[in-house]
Amino acid sequence: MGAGRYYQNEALGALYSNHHGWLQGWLRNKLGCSQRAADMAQDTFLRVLTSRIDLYTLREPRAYLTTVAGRLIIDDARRRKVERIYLETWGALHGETAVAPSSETLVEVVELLAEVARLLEDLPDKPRRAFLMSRLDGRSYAEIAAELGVSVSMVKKYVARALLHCLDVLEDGEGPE
Amino acid sequence: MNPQRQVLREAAEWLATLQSGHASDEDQVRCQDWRRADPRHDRAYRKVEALWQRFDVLDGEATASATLSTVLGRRRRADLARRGGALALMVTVLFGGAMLAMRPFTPLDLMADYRSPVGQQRRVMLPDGSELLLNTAAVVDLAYSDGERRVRLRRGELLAEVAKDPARPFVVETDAGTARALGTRYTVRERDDRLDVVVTESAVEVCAASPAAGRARCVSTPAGHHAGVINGEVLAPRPVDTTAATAWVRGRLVADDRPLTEVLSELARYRQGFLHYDAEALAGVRVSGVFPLDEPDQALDMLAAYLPVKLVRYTPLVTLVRPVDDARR
Repeated sequence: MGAGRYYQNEALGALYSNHHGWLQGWLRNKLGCSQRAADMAQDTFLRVLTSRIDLYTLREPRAYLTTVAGRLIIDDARRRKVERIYLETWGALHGETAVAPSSETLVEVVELLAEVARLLEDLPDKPRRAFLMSRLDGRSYAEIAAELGVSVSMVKKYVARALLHCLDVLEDGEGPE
Repeated sequence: MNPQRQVLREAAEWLATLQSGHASDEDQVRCQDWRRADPRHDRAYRKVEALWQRFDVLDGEATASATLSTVLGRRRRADLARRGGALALMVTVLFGGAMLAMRPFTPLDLMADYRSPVGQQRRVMLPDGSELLLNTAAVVDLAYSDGERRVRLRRGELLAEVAKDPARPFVVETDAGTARALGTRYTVRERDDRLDVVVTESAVEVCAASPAAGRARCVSTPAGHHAGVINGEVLAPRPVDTTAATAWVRGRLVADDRPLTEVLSELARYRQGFLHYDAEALAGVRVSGVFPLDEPDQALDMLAAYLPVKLVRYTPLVTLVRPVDDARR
């Protein structure tokens, strides 16, 4: 195990010195901002470090790095969007004068909501709405059925389908690239 | 489909059944049987359950829920984009306004003896032959003993039709006080440390839980009267139109020249989601009419049709009531 980790670190070191500069350039082109490109390049290598992939068997290191970095860009965009809409919604619900959530709370909530959004975003409209209404708003299937114009047994199928979909997405993210 | 995924699918269906809000004891038992039948079933079920619980922190969080609907809802997102300027405006309109929403159920409420869902009524037969009709979002515990029939109304409103039993008084208790009878028919409502009692038959003794200094603790309330407790002070009984005051029993809200803001706060009790308005802007508006409580959104539409107000629905969760001649538009 110790030897394995040693080789893994060495392989990561090689990956870093051979491709870090190139990746940062690629990211700068994508993002149009060198500061964000530098941060994102660091995050990409951090993600590689914590993944379980065997770096020695990596045949296309640059393709791999851009895949990881591409996902980070999408995650980041999703998080920003969730944060913006969360703050707008907060303002709408609590009024202008209300105390905004603390930055720690905000980071935590946005992280969580972005993760939920990732799990649910590829689901079709009705199963997703049924799941959200049931799980977050605590509404009964009868109410949801009335709102979506489907039968109660269909609402149950939607909720089960949403759960299975979430498990699929989670499974996908955990496996090797 | 591979067998492992098939088991996961079945587990997801079981969980969806049990979370429906309509699951029977038999469903529970059958799910247990399924889980016991094979360790793989149980493992799959735990996995789905763990996923379900990941969402626990977001439970009943209106901001989180509305955010997700907006982020994920393609149609709604387009609506919102088109109303780019409207969202900012909504915040200014809400300045100094009131926000009405159901008080969320607490975990303790969920363990109560009886409760009724938002917007629905529930009839409860009691062991002594008395009956309760629970109005929207009510939470009730029973504490019957040899000497007393005690009903604890933790939140909401109920109608009590009490079976006569001189040896065992019937008491409805809230945080603010109690309403005690031998045999009668009356309604009790709990809200924000306040108790309201409307007596339709016989008489009820209304008592403050902790009376204000120098004030009477109890008052006897005859039929056709309203009495209550506010901030520890017992309100003297006043004649009331009991048909109008208990119209909720028939699923109606009767308003006779009442301020619109009062009617809105009543309707909010029967709706999911948030109802906003600027109390100051609506201050002069008064309402008379009969409104359906089982269709509170229809009631709102009726108000908008007859009064100088309009409704703006942002998401299924957020509805705004604005004066039509709002200069800030």
